Amino acid sequence: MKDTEGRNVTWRAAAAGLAVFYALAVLMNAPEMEKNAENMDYGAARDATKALVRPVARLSAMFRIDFLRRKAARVRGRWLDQEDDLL
Amino acid sequence: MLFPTLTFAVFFAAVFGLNWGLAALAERCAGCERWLVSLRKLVLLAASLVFYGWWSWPFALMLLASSVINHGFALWMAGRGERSGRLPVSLAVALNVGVLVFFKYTGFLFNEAVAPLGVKVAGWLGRGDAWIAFLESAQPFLCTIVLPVGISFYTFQALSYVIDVARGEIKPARRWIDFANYLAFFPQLVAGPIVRAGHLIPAMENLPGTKTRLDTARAGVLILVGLFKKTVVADYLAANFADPLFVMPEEFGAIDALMGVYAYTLQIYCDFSAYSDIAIGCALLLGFEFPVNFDAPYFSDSFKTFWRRWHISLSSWLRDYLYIPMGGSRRGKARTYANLLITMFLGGLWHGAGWAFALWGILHGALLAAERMLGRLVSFRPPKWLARIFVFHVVAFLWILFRSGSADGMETFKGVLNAFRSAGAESTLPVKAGAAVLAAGFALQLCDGARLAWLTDRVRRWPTWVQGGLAAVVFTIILGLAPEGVAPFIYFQF
Repeated sequence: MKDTEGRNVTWRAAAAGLAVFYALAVLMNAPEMEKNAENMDYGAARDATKALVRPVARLSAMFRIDFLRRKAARVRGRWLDQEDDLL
Repeated sequence: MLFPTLTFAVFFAAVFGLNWGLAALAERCAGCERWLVSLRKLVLLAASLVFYGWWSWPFALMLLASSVINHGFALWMAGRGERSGRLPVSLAVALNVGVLVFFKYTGFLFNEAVAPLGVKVAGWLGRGDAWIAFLESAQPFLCTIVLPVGISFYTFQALSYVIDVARGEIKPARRWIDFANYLAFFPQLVAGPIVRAGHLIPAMENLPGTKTRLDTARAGVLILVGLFKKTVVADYLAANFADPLFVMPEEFGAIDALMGVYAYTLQIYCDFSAYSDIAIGCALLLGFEFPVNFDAPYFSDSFKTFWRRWHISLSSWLRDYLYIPMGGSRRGKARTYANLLITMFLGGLWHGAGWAFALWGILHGALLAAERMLGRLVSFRPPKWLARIFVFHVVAFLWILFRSGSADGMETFKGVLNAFRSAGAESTLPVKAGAAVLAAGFALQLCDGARLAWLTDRVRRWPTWVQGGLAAVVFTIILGLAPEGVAPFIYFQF
């Protein structure tokens, strides 16, 4: 087995990677997150989630950062959820 | 709390920050190091309880009580050494198994054994009416028994701890909180892998420090592969093929039945191995290493190999705590076959309270015994590819029984078999897309074990911010491809 321990990272580097992951993931999925927040039960959690997600969702939509999510969902709709795919 | 949800993402970020933040603080503060280490352990335990309590707080407290009682037994055994005899370990095993039997098997035992036997006895005594009245009054109570999520998993972990301490293979955890963290550690709490005490308790006693090097590449790849397996493949196959077939088998013909059976075969693999992958990945990010739980099981060319590659942590648990103590293969051929049948019968029942699960286990035991017997009698070995196809199809066929065990038992099983007879019936399922997803599900086994080392080795060379950015892109594509909502993991019910 190859020794890969040397290439592993400190927790700080891991935290940086995780922070980038979270930030980008939220940006790319914010409009969808906002839609999900709309479907939450009425209450403080829903209001707080909407308030947090709305500005990010606008930013994401403005710069079309959410295109990847939309594109993937379209592929699913066109290909996986097709109804004429019967023998 | 389910892994592929926003709630878990927020929860994990908080636990990650607290875990490593406290570790860094403890190393800087010379005077308060011990106090901060204890606080870190407490935070990990609290996180696990929140994870579990999200579903049910009373059962989270029961988990805590289990940790106190089992640690008490371990200390009792270690304190008295050989003088304690078999009493404490017997009590501990009886208590753990008793709780599991109460929550999981009371209804089954009552309806399948107590009720029919009682009807006969009451009939002889001329008290049939009174017995029937008792049965009717007992049903509302039986309906109130809720199966705590993951009880089968953490009970087996607790059993491995007390039995290993009794055998003298490990020492009891230095402090209760180390054992509690082992038993309740949230990544593997509700659906495994069943990690042995000897493996995880030392890590809980000496928590990984800030000098620990984290394999973010492997963790990220495992989590993303797990998410893809669960949210794209398993949930799609369940919603479009397996669930319709097993709910209304009479509506489908042979092609659909075959697709449905293949779909469930790959759904259960993708669903369960996904949980293990995500659990292993999350644990890696917190500095803990879990053993591999799946190793391309459907590539097996024998049933023995299949059980060495499927749910490895359960198979090895059954081997070490049931099969070998019963004598294993050391007491002659007949006893070996009997041991295999008993072990697999109990393994089947572990999955659920129903005859279908028991029969599924017995049939797997019989296959293992037959394979062993044939291996001794016949020198001919079929080509590996043929053996693989054969093993895959027999395992897939037996999954029909297993899936029926989760529904209404043998009726569903018969219904699916009947569907196979209607050869001329037209397909009503999206076969082309389904075939592609099935192929993807099968190919995902190439991600098990060390097979993805080539990829993780490459990812490891990149800076972590690149790894994180790329992971976010892949994560978004997976979410886009996944159907709306997240179905619970199949193994939660066990």
